[in-house]
Amino acid sequence: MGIDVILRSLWIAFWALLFGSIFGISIGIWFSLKNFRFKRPLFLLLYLFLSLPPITIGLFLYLMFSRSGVFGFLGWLFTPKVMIIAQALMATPLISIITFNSLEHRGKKIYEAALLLGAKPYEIIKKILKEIRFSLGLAVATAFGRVISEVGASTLIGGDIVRKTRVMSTSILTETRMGNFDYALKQALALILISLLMNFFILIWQGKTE
Amino acid sequence: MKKFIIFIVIVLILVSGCSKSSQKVPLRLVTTTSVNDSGIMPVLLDEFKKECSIDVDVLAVGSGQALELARRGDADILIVHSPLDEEKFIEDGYGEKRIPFMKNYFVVAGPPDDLCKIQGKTADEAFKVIAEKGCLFVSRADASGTNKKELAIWKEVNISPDGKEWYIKSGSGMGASLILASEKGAYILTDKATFMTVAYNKLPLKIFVENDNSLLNIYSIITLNPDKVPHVVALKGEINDFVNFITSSNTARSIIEDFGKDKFGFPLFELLN
Repeated sequence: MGIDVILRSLWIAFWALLFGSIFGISIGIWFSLKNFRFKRPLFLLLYLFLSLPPITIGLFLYLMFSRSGVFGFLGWLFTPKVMIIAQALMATPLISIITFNSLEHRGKKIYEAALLLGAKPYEIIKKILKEIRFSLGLAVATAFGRVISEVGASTLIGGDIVRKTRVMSTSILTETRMGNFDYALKQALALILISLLMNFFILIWQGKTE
Repeated sequence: MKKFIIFIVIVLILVSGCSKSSQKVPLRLVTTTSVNDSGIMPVLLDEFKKECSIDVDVLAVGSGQALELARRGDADILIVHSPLDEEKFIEDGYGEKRIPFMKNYFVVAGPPDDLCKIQGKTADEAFKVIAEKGCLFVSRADASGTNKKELAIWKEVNISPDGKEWYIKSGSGMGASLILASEKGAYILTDKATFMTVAYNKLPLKIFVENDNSLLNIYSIITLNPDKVPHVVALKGEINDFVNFITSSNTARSIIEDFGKDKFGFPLFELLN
């Protein structure tokens, strides 16, 4: 009971965190290494996105992906795809800001030292990632907590459709609404366990690589 | 030979009640929380899938949001219970066909000790007493069919509850509002199906006003006008199959007639004709 819902939650969060990490880490590294003209406004924009309530992201995505919106032709509204986009949009600013903050003073040094040693670009990036793995672990864990528990945007653009877009957070809401506290509690418990496990693994991983 | 094949195909269509479906995307049915929360929808859809092999995605929202979703082209078919809004929806050209197909009744429920003594009154009288005595009352306040009905009753008794201390706006679905009402010891207007599913024997709420003909609750199925809502992607044939299944198939009729009997001793919905 509800296993498919749990797996779907994790599946959607996984893709969201993957995209969120790729974009977030890239933006963070780019910001810490390069100076350019619109860095400050762009940075403000990132912080704005960080503090944006998820439901507003959901509303924008709804209007864009509605069949009468610009991306309506894709038919992505009320599918997991648009949920992944929403969650990635929530994860990206968080990951990029944490990446940037942990690189702010060291980033350039690492970069220049690695260049002097004749490292190839991908080796430099590897080196940088290794240096900030603790912060990255924290960033991903926080982002995971943010996306897996998000309910407003997920309901608005996912629709809580059984066997399609019903995830843990939205199912808890719906089942509580129907007075099904039993199911809701079980899902809530699973949600807590998964979050604990996730943080546990990240702690272990950080300890191992020390 | 050709004629014979056509004949066979026609016979098959008549027997199964389904057009030949080459479905790529599921039909998107937008329905009210009251229909969905009662649990009747999954039963109907399973049978529909067996008969016609057509997948249906169900989105459960308030009637107001359901109609708005449809206006934007994000629904293929609607099941709602807000007659005045539905008529406007048809008049404005968004809706094509509207077929009322089942009904039940709204009821007024409240705390078991019936603080305001509304037992046995009509809905109008009960609302008046609640307002006069200032008993707590929970309103859905979400433009749903139930909310529209509630507002219509207030209007009929010439009371504007908005902003009054005893008037609590929940802004959420029927089930959540019932839970709120039980926590607050408040009165509430609810459809009987959701009351039985969510509150009966589970929450400290009791029905005090029912079987009032002014509390009739009619559910209609609505198809959309492709000229006005050009985004409807699902195939015409499948929409027709669904409408025919819900409104006239014996399978659906017997499901609607019987649903809830085993659990509550009486059906939660009644057929209209």
